[in-house]
Amino acid sequence: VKRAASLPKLSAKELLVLELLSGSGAMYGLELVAASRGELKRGTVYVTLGRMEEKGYVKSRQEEAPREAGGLPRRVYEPTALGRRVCDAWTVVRQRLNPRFAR
Amino acid sequence: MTPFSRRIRAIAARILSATTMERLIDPILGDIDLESREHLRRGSVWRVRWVLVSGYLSLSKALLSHAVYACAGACISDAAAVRTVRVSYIAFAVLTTALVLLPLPSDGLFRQHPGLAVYLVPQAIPISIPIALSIGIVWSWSNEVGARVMVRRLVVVSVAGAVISLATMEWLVPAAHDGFLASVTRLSASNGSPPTMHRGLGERSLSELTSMARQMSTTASSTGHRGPIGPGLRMRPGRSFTVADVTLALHTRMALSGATIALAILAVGIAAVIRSRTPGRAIFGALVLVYVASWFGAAAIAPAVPPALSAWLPNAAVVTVALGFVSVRRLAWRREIPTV
Repeated sequence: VKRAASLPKLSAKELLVLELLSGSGAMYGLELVAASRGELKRGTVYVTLGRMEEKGYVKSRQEEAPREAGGLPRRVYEPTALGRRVCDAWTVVRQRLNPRFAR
Repeated sequence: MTPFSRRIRAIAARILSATTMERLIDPILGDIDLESREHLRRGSVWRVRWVLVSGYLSLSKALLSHAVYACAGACISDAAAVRTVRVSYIAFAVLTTALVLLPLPSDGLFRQHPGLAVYLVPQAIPISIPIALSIGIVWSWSNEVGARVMVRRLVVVSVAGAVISLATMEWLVPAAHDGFLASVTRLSASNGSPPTMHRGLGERSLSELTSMARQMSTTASSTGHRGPIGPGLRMRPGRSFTVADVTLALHTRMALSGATIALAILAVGIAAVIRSRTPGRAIFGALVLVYVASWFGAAAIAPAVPPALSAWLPNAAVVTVALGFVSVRRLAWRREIPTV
């Protein structure tokens, strides 16, 4: 049971985020929402990204604060090596289990 | 950033952790800020309003999702630790009670009638509860002790311990003592005369002690008091108590009940600063030993200071140390949150 629990888990949204990030390298949260064509929502994308950061699938860095007074710095997300491997593995599994998903 | 965003950020910074601020609140507020500024530059005021409304709705949705995820995640990760605290709490309460009652078989009466020991179990409970809670916390100390769910459950367990302890001292101990004396008198006296109740301060309920202290301070001199106190209550022959003795006994009982809460606050305080398992356990264990020693110290200085002060001193010291740990953590949080 412990072995099964320690297997990396990936939800559909997390897989989508990893695929988008793997394709472009690094993106902002709003860019991910725009690129997902409605599959990711503004209200939940950061919750998903935070959870993925905890799992070690993505890493983020803060950009410098904008010059405008009071502006908040933006956060850029990119996949980690583990995230890329998990994404690849899940893509392969998905293709083998159901060839309809093959891209 | 709009004044409303600034206010939301200030409130959130007080409630949420630095990580949540960094990963959730700041990016969403940053997006709202960026989008609204872009539309403002283009001169589309209604678009700015729409961005603000939809942005704050997204923020509330994100907070709700985060709360659901945090609770579910914490429940899963903390379930084992909470179960360990609960099980070890009960196990150590039984063990400590047994240890407190261990010297009894040397007494001839208990050797002849071992069933009488049951009457003394309630007296061991108020002492065994804080000891069991301390050992339970040390035993099950994990990296999640500082998690919010764990803190809430620790508070619930400690308050429940305090309530059980108070209830035991108020009702169970006097009732068990009465039952014990009645059984002993029945066993030893062959003439069938009704048993006479002689109670020491240790066998009196909290309400009895309170009324006793009030009665003594109004009617008797503070130097000493002999004879019957209240209806049906008599002291052992030859024993006398001062108001200070009674007040000390009353406050000591209440402070002993509060020990579980004080120790839980100490555990949470340490966990706020030290997340690692072994150092957390070691520091908490060492401070519990100091706390136990401070009870003896407080008893030693009791004649020289007001009774209430000497009784509550150990708990006050422990809570002060815990608050010191929490303030250290708060200072660290403030440094972690970027000022805007």
